[in-house]
Amino acid sequence: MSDLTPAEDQMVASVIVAARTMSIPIRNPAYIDPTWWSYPLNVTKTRPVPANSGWLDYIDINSDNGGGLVPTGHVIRLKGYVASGQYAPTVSGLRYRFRKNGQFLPDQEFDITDTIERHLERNNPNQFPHPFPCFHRRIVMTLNNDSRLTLQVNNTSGIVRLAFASLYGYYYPNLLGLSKGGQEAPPYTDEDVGEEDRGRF
Amino acid sequence: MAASDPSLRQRIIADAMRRGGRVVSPSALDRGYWSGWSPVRQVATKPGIDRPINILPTGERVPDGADPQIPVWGNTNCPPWICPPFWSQPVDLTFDVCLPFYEQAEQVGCFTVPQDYVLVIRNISYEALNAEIYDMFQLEFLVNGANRFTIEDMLIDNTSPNPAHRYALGGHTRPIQTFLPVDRNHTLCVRGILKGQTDFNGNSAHQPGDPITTGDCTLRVILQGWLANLRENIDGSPRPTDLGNMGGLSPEDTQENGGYP
Repeated sequence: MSDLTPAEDQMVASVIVAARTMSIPIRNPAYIDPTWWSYPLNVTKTRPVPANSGWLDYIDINSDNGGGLVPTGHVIRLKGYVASGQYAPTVSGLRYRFRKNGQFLPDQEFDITDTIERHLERNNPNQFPHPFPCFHRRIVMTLNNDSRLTLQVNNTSGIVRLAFASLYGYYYPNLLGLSKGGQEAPPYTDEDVGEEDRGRF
Repeated sequence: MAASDPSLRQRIIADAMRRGGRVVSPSALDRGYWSGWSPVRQVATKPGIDRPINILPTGERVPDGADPQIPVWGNTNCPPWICPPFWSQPVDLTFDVCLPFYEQAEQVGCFTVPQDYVLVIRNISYEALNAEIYDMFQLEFLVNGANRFTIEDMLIDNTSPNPAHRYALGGHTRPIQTFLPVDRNHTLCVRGILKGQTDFNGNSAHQPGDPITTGDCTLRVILQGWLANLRENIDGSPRPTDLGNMGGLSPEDTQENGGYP
């Protein structure tokens, strides 16, 4: 016979039924996959860059309430970018660089000046260097609240060049002021577990 | 019954004390809940590195508790806005509009999400057959009239026989990647504008209403994604915005009671 009271029996039975019929969505953190509360971030630019332009701000995204694309209080998660042009960089003279909060990204981590897309177009018998269609590159970058990221372009040639650039990803509310966002649960610590229960976990 | 054996009960308590654990008289509900749980001990893999591994004791009797009468298992799945659920519907929308003028915004197409679904758009591609070479066009994506984002692209190779390769940044074989969720009963609209050749700041050389010269006024937008169904299917997938810590199962942890939204 069971030691359970009828009420406990009912409870166990309902837990079993729930466990058999439910399906638990396992969600990645907001900095890996967008949550339901995330918003899309897609910026593309296809503009002619004047000759000998010097460094110009091409795409500017910010969450610092500066009238940018993202409202303040949000975390921006970039998933990819395009920094390319109509011709290979050796021909076009186009250069790109990122500035994050006014600082250049370190060269040893991020150097795209000589690596703009210049793949060979497939099915072309002459294999003429043809830098488009542009392919998106992956990037892993998180911009916290009050941050600004600028993709700058420089046309070093003497004629106008077409620059193709894009940033894409998503942004989500930063409710707790933490980089991982307020939707995430805090990690367990020793205090949560408790001394007497430690052996059980 | 094993659970009512007093000597076994004392052995359980003595064993717990030996392991340094807190001695709690296990209730029947506790035993039912922990049935199948095996006592394990933790050892360090290397001295000085606090990364324990669990070792199941050998040669000991099976832990107390009733054998499960019903095999209990549950599914885990990806959230419906990341992976399409089993009951979701595919979405591959093609919107065509005739846009014969420069600098004049037109609605390319709209889609209203049904009551029982949420829409997730992940890929965008397009064709601007009304554009001359180096003409720039912009597409606005609006949810219930609010602009989610605006993208622009340029006809860069009008000689390519492959329409996927005519535009600089996107095409049918390399669509623009996005994450565009649209809630139930909401309407997603795409609005297009053919800017023509522009300067660096995006100012067009054309006046609004200038006619195109290509003879084909089609502006085409293709959206791909899925309609994720909402609650009350055995597959799960409750309404995403209702998801609490227990996936909507726990009535105490709703947003109204201060839980996570």
